Amino acid sequence: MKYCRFLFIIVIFLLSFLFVEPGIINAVDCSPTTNGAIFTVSASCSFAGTTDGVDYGTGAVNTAVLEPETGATITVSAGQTLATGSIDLIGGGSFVIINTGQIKLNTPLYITDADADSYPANNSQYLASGAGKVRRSTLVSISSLDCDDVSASIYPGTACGGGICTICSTSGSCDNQTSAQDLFNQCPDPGTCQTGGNCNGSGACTGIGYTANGLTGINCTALHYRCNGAGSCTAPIVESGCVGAASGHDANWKCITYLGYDMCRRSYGYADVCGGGCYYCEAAQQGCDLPFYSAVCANYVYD
Amino acid sequence: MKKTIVLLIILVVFLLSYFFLKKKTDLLDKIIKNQPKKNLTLTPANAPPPKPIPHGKQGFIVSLGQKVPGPRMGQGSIDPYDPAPGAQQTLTIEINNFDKPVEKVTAILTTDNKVSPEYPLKQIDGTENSCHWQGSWIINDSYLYNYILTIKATGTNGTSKVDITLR
Repeated sequence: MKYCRFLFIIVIFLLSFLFVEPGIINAVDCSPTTNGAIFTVSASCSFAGTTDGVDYGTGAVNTAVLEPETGATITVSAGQTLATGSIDLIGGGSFVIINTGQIKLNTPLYITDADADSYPANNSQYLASGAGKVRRSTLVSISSLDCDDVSASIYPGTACGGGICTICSTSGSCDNQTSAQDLFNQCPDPGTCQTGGNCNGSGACTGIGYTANGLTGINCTALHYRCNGAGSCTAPIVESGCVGAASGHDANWKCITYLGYDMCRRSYGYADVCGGGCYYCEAAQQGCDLPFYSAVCANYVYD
Repeated sequence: MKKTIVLLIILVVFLLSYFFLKKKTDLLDKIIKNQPKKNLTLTPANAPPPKPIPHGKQGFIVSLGQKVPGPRMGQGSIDPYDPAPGAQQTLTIEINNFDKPVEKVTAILTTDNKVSPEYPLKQIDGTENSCHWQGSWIINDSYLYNYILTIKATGTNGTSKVDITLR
């Protein structure tokens, strides 16, 4: 029995030798934790920008204190300028400066924010003020870029580019909206959203939707329900008109989708497709109801 | 007795298999190394461009915090900062431990896919408590995104360590 143990230990030892590799630590950009003027770095890193650092205070005074925590090393790269108010080497952290790198104490950092909406136009930082530049410490975030640095009302998270279904991304681009809930909130008339989708929950622009809760997202899947623009849906309108009684639908009337709306037409194709107007399909796709969106009806031409 | 013999046979067979396979692997490595080298760098499609780094020999200065234990590190150099694959790189660093001897200095290089063994540095001048230490190694991995040099200096008063983010 004791030989079995002996053999087992040897096998485990050899297997460990064969398969265990040391973990790789990854180079990271410094992302200090802020507590007022104290900027703490918990892991070894270097700052990303050619001119970078930490900034706190107003005017031309930088009172930020940059402090590497115990075991952490902040490396100032070659050619890089690291601006800060002061550095803290009282603790167990360290600094390394590569040749041609430099640390500038009590030096403020500036960044371009021409529309003064607290979101920068880009990541470039400067040691001197100038037109369109603000103190970095005044920004909401240095990593969320402004997709429109001319308009103060357009910044990450808002609609942009004149669209109703667009969003200013945090990377500085104006993108099509993809969040169902945001689409719902931003599209004043959910059925008319042409780009990026409407409130159907899948990013498509169908104009048809099932009921939604308006708070946790829209899930429009059932037929003939529409988002009503207020966080819920409008049920199909089923009433008298061309459809008559439910059991007596005219089989020649069919539901079609045009411009994102459900409508009816007669299958044998009269010019007065919707019976002289534009009728709204009822749930079972067997008949039509009274006009729902008159504007669409006006545009509708049956061929 | 019979059990012992069986166990020993199993152990011997296992070890022989291991060393036989290792020999084959080493031979294969040798053959591969002798092949003409192709500069193939596998970079993820959406990877950001690597940060620029300086060329040739570069100096650096270490400032350890007051509470970092062990010997103090001063000026150093890396030669070259950007070695070609398979080329040698040399680290030289000034170590000062005041009235206490420096026992050993080591370096570990972390690159894109590998963590090197702990390379021992040798004292090249000065006294036992204030001198320069130097070590060399061959770079055999890419360092486009991960390039960290860890230096450790050990004395009777503890071990000091810095992680230099080279890229």
